[in-house]
Amino acid sequence: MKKQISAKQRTETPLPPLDFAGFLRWTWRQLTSMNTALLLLLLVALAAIPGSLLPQRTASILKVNNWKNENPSLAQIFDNLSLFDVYGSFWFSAIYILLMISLIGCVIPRLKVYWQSFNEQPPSPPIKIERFEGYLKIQLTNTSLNKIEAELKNSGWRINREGNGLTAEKGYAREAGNLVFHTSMILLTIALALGALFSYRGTVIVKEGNGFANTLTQYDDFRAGKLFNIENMPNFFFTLNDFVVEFERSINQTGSPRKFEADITLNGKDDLMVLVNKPFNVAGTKIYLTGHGYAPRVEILNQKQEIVYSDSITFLPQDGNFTSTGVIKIPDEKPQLGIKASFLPTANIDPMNGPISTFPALDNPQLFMTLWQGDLGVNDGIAQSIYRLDTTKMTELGIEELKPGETWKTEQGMEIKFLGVEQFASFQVAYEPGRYLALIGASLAMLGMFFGLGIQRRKIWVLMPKVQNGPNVIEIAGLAKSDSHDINKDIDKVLQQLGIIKIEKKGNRSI
Amino acid sequence: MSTNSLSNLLVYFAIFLSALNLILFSITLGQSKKQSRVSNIAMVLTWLIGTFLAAALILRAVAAQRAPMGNMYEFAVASATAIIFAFLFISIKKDISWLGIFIIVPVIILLGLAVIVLYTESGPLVPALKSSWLLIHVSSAIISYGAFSINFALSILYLLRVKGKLKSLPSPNRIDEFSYKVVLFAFPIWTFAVISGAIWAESAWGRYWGWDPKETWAFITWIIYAAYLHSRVTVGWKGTKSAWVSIFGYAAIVFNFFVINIWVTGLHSYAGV
Repeated sequence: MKKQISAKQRTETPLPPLDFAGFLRWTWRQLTSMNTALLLLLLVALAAIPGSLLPQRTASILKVNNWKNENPSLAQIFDNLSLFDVYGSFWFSAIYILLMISLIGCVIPRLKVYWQSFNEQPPSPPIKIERFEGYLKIQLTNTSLNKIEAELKNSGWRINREGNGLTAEKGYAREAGNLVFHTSMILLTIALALGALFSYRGTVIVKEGNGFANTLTQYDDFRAGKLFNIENMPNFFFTLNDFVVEFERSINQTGSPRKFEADITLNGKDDLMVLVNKPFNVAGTKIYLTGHGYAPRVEILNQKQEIVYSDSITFLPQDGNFTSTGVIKIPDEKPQLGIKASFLPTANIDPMNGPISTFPALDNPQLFMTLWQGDLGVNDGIAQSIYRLDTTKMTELGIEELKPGETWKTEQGMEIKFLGVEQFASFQVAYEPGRYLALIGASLAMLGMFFGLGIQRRKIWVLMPKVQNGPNVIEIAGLAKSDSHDINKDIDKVLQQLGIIKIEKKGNRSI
Repeated sequence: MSTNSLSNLLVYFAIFLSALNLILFSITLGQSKKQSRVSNIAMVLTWLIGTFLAAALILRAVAAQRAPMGNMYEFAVASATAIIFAFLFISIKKDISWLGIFIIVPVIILLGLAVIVLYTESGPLVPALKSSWLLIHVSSAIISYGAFSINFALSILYLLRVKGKLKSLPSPNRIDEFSYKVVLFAFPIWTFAVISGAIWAESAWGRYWGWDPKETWAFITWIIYAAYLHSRVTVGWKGTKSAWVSIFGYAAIVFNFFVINIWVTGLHSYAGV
């Protein structure tokens, strides 16, 4: 939005001067030039693309790891280029920061110029105006420059009257709008930075009947900004009393979710209903319902008929019909035991793909299990996912499918009981301190944009060369700063105010 | 006949009329600039197409008891309607029947894809979409998509005109100015669509900006059109180069609608193809 420089100046881009201060000045001028701003904008757009096509750590570490396992040859290179964390990468930040510097460098001098323009009058009217747009020469009776000046002033024009002519200028709000817009972009960036530094966000899976207390150890996944202080985390706990989910049963959109409702008790006293679009708020921290799934309850007895495992296990949904996978690990048995299982809420046998779930609700629940024995690898000291079973040092003992209430008696004399199915809900807990500032920034940006794009800076000149009694001749013409504005509209309006109706219209002003 | 199948029938009628209009508009293209009888008929037909599509959307809304913006089929039909009405509203003030053919082609493609590939029976919303932001966020996106489509057609025409083709159309400069004005209208609405999306995201997912693929492409689109606006006041960019920038902006919109919705999974992936 800098003033246009002439074509000659552009083609002769000066070389950087050799002294240091001169070089700095040259760099600054290059950086804050419109051309650079434009290229930086396009570069930001380009740089944002890979993050939308590759899995991102900020969204799902699991997906990133899966992608890396599938593409081992590219994984390391991509990782080194931060392609799994594009929006936090050095190169994305670098482009963005350059854009911001260019923006600040553009806004500050313009603020100064704008401030000064308030104390300045519009420029003097030229002596001849017939070469300007919308030029008209009209004979009028009973008029004077005083009268015209008063009329124009009334409709918001700023006037500079000199001799037998005047300049009227309008549309200062355009530049104000532009400045507000660009300043609020800086504000928005500050809000994003605040969010990145002070926010925290975690996900937690809560089974029906269980609870959650807001401490680090209870989170399944937790991320916080660099300057976030754990001690500022609000104290609260809640229990998930009941989770209700309903799915579409008609042929049309079968299986689409229709209702999710989590009935919780907050801090042991307040009963709340949490819906997908309705989070609850505890001291600025918001708790959102983000997902749900099934947790089959399983009991395992060893050869000595001792209960070695009895719990419900959260299974991760893999598709829209909630085919879910989960893992049981029993590290205390010798040798160690592990189960890899699939849970199908509505089990059906597909001739091609074997057992699949055909509906997300519990119409025909079945648990498909593979029992493994050997070394779980949990003693190596490397953190293991609770959703993955490393079977490299294990041997398969057998497979079985169970319905709720059924028991699998293995050849080895163990008993595995499928007791029933519970539900779990996943919650996102988020504290985002920059959000109000971001909203203010975004709203101001909108406001600024309306003025900056909608209003045009334009001038009208009115000349009255000879003042005499009886009919006088006035000349009128105008100029808009941007050629997309039709100055004729303003001239027509002014003439109308002066009581002149323009009859002849020059052709069809199409487009 | 159910409201739903009546809605479908209207969409088919609209496609049929659009095909007819394609012929009429291509006849007018070869004629002189003055409004001919053929172009008048074509404009009347366009109003009819707009009415049919609007009625189809309303019936769909009645059938499902909600805003007709719950899946990609509805979104595609609504976008086609927005393109038609953007064209019609401009045509009230200015004679732009010469632009007709370049509007009707994308509308036919969009509606064709909608009925063949994207069709979904009308039904209730998934819980994630049950919010009053749906109407605000999606309708502003659709309106700006409609206007950006007009801008896209104009940018292509501009490039053809500059190369000396299609001499019966207005001068390149006029097309360029017109095209700029359309973006002046569309860009603030698109900005509003992005902001309202962020507000909704904050209330549904706990963050106002999370670089979800759909959000990322909305950002990319916004940045490209912002670059377009800047290119208009940068020496050496106005004209051919800025026309190309706006074409890239539209490519981002199309990519976001088809590729991201269908092939890339993200938080916006409920959109039921």
